[in-house]
Amino acid sequence: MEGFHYVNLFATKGIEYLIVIGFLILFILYWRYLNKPAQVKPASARSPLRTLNEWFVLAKNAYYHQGHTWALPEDSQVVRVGLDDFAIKFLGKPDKIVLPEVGSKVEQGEIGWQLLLDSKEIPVVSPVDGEVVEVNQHVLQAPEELEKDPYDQGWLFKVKVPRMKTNLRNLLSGKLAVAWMEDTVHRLRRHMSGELGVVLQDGGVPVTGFARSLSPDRWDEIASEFLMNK
Amino acid sequence: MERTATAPDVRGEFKRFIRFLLSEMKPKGKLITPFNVFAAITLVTAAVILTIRFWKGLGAVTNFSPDYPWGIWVAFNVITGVAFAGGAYVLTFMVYILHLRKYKPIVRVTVLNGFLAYVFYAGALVLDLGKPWHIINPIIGHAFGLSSVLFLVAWHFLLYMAAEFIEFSPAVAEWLGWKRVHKVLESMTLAAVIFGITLSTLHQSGLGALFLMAKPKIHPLWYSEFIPILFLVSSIFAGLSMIILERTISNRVFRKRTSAEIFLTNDAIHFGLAKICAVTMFVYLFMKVIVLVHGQHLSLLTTSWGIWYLVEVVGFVLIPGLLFTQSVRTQNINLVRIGAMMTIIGIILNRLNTSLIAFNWNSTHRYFPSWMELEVAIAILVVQVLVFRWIVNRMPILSEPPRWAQEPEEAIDNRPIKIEEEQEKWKVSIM
Repeated sequence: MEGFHYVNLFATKGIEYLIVIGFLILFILYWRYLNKPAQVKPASARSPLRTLNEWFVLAKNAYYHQGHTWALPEDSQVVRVGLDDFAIKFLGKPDKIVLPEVGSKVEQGEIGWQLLLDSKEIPVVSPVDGEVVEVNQHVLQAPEELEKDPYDQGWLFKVKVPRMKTNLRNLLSGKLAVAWMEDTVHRLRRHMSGELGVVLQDGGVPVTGFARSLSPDRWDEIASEFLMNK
Repeated sequence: MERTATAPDVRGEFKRFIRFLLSEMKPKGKLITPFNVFAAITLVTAAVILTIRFWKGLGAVTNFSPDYPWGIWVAFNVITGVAFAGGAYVLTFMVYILHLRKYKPIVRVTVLNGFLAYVFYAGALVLDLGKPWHIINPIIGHAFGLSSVLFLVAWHFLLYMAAEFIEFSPAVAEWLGWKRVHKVLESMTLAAVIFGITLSTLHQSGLGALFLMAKPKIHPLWYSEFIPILFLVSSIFAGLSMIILERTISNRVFRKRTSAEIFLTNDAIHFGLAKICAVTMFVYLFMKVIVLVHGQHLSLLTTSWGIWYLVEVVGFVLIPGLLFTQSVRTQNINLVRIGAMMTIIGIILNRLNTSLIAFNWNSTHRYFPSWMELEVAIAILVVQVLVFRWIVNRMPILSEPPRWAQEPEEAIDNRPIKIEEEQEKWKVSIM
């Protein structure tokens, strides 16, 4: 056993104690640092759901109407309502948004408000029933907010919903919403074949307002199909 | 009478089964891809080399010598590979014992990876044995070798492969459509998991314990009586980093086979794993410091071996640990991936340092693997990837299991807000 020597157990005991104490202190600090809330944007904007093709983003906690509007519960009675990423990319920045007045009623699946685009009126369906309690003035003055952040700064109005559970049950969320959005993309692809050619088909990302390049004459009809406003 | 009545049925069923198996043998997807061409060349070359190896013996293809009775096959494929397979026991522990359901979707793919790793890495061990048929001895008792750590390793590998196969087998039953068998196998999962975790912790450290008997040969910076526990702790973040790498690649390559659930929880799982890695690496670094001080080896750090040691510990443990920490704080997914890559390099360095590079450090004769050894080492990885791809493309590993095998839907109401009960009133909103 040449080259074998016994380590004197006590030679480094003192310094080892100090290292252990130092480590424990450091670990507490490290643990607190690691578990501080992450330095990122608020929840709705932070964790978008992506569809498999990543063309359109969905917000994680929102509930979607198939007419491409969403509802995000703020508490057990009030939801925020807005347009989803698809609708915005599809239509582009509206010239004007006509929202219902505070105090008026909206109904799930019925026309709730309108967008003005190229001197055409595009009606949009409301995702929930209830009474409008607040309107986002900021987005009315600056419709470009819609494009920037459709699920956060781009909300349109708040609705007090008397029958929250039933309302939400009629909407899509989570995996279902993603599946639905993928289906939408498939339908869109069918429209696009021949019209926009290979550019979009081959993984390109649609430009905002691509409805008009899709079909300059009939774009509002295609929009009606997707927004379910007829 | 009964036999004649049922015989045609059984035969028909059997025929259908064989036809199904044969149809599944056909390749899916394009045959000529860069990876397939590379794989084919690698495998054919390896087959030639291995024929020579078994025909003429180890000396014909390897640079082994009495000083270096093992080389890259054991050091890289077995010792390093097993560390990376550690992801399976960590993840099953998290999901089945700690009930962290968030990680449930990726359990199957991780267990499959671990299982294949063990099959091929234990397989690599056969290539390295002068008399490969002796590998059966510790099992059949011809010569148990009770005093050797390898006795423990051999049995553990065998039992752990069985446990992992049981954990993974419900996927096979789903693929074949065997509902009854599926039920039985599913009920065995938890027992297999507990058994598997016990085995893993023991043989991860057991692999380290192998080196305890080589004290004079290993450079003092890498030798310590705590190698077993260092190997165990590092296998945790090694395995998790491997999961991160596998997820990153699989999510691209098997996109069409990936269920929405796995796809959508991908980022959250990445950050969760990164956090566990960060904490374990912190603990590991502390142990490294204590071991260094306890062995009174601080003065060695200024030698060239010391610098190489610091490259491993600072460059590929401390820095990726910090990257993981930062990635969790800033929710930056790319940092997680870079951290995982660096950690993987760090583990390879650590295991190779212990078993090859700093092994026989004071001997005049150095080992360097021959090109044929390297070729076979890569071929083993390629075979693993091919088998993995074959299984993922056929069985519900990443995709959703068939409807009959799914757990009953969980309550939908675990939503962030609480909604009071109210009277149902259905209204059709869309026609």
